[in-house]
Amino acid sequence: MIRHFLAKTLYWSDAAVKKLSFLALGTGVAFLLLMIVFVLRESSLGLGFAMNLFDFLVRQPWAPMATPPSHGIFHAWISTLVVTGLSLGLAIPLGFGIGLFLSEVAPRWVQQVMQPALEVLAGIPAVVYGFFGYVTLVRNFETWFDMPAGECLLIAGLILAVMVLPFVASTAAEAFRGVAQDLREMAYGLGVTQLYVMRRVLFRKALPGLFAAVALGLARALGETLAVLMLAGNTVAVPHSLLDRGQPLTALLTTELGETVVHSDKYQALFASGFILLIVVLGINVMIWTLKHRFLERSHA
Amino acid sequence: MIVPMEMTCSYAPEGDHEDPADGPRIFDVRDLSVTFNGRSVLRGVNAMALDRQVLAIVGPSGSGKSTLLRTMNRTLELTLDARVTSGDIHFKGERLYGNGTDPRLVRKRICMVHQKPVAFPMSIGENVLFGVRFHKNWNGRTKDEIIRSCLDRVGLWNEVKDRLSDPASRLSVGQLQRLCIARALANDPEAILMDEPCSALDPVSTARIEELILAMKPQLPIVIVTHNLAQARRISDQSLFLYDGQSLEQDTTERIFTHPKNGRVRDFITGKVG
Repeated sequence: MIRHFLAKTLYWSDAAVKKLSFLALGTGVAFLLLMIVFVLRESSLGLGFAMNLFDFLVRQPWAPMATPPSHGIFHAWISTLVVTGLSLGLAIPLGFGIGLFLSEVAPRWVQQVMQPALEVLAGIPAVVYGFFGYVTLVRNFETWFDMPAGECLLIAGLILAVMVLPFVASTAAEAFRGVAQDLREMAYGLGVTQLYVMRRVLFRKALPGLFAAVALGLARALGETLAVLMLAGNTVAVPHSLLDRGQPLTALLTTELGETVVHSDKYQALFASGFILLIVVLGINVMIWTLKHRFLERSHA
Repeated sequence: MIVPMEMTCSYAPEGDHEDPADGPRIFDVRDLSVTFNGRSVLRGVNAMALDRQVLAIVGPSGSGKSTLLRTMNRTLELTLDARVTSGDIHFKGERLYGNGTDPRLVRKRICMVHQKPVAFPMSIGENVLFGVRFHKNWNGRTKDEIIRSCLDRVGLWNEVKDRLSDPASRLSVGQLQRLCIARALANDPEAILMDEPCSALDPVSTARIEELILAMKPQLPIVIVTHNLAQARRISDQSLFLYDGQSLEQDTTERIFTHPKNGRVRDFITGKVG
């Protein structure tokens, strides 16, 4: 009798765990879908918008107060591209290097200190990074480059690189640590150097994790708002150099959305740029996923 | 109650005793002690391997067989906290743990085949060339010649010649173990160490590896760690019995399996203890 009761309880607890985890997954996916639908609805994207997409993305300037008003986001996505590209260009090689160092070279005590330190760095609020960039780089840039105001895309990119670095580094370190110890011993057992093993075995084996590190860094860099708002200059102008001021998409949304009449043309244009940001993030993730599989096939990992 | 047993290692460092068999010593392990994180794993081990012979290291689990093998090509130091605390190993008369000995060169000269075969993330052909590309020991041969000769030696050429550029991970475990041996042979080693190379294989693949060991014996000294006493008896010329980090007895395989001197060795061989 007791045995029967216990068996039944175990069966029900297993079923409950399955149902609860499915519910959690369903809730997460539902929120994501609802968000996409909401952004799409608020931006009123339709056939007319598709026809004017080129004007919206490239030709028109952002001048909502002009007569007639125009809502082009060329300056914003160029700024986003520059800041994100710069930050990832710095954070990816540095992050992979730190990951490799932590996993392969560093003595155990350094690993024990550095791994939690990276997690702390990843958890520091963006406003602190923004403030740090403001009191260090912005002030100095004004002196070094004789600028009336030091905020520029270069500073935003540099600080964003520092913000993205802990994510890339700790994910890369995990990816390298995940490579089987057997494989290392076998490779070193043939009398080769650490650099050779890293280049020919570790990088190839850790590739899926390294792609995850890039995807994570990219999502963080594209979505970062406050630090770039504080440091990029927040100016509606197409940047021509790294020392120019700019306004990344996230900064444009944050600056303008608060003072916009709901369902006005400007409101819809802002939601449209938000939707484009979402599509870019999704598109890049799909691209990284495809690249990962192509690389994996080529490297036989 | 634990009854202390006599230590009758028939082998002792050169000069003290006669060799259990004729032939030049290739490996000469002298009074070797190893610790892991301060814990003693090998205690004053003496052993030797002769040229063109197979030495089998046998003993119960945890007796230090794999540790001893890993000291013989200096892969032990790849493990954190592992340390040779005293003694030395002489390979062809040269000290492996002497000052100025480059561990990488030692590993190039003495290659290791591991228990679990693992493919490097590259093609079958590139797996064979892994060490050659680094050491540049082409010796006037093209890469195709090296791949063919090494795969031929391990009896894998006919099975894979049409798919050399396929990922090595697609091979079966038995084929992969032979590929690992081919990868080691491509390095032109002067000795081969094998750490339970057949423990993950089926009887057919095991038989092929044993044939391969016997075929390689005329060219290279081979040291093999095995749990399988029957295998040690089939393929080895010398056997070394390790127990609790100590070398209890080394002798010709024939003698050690028929007339062991040490009581513990006798118990292990006759199956009184597992």
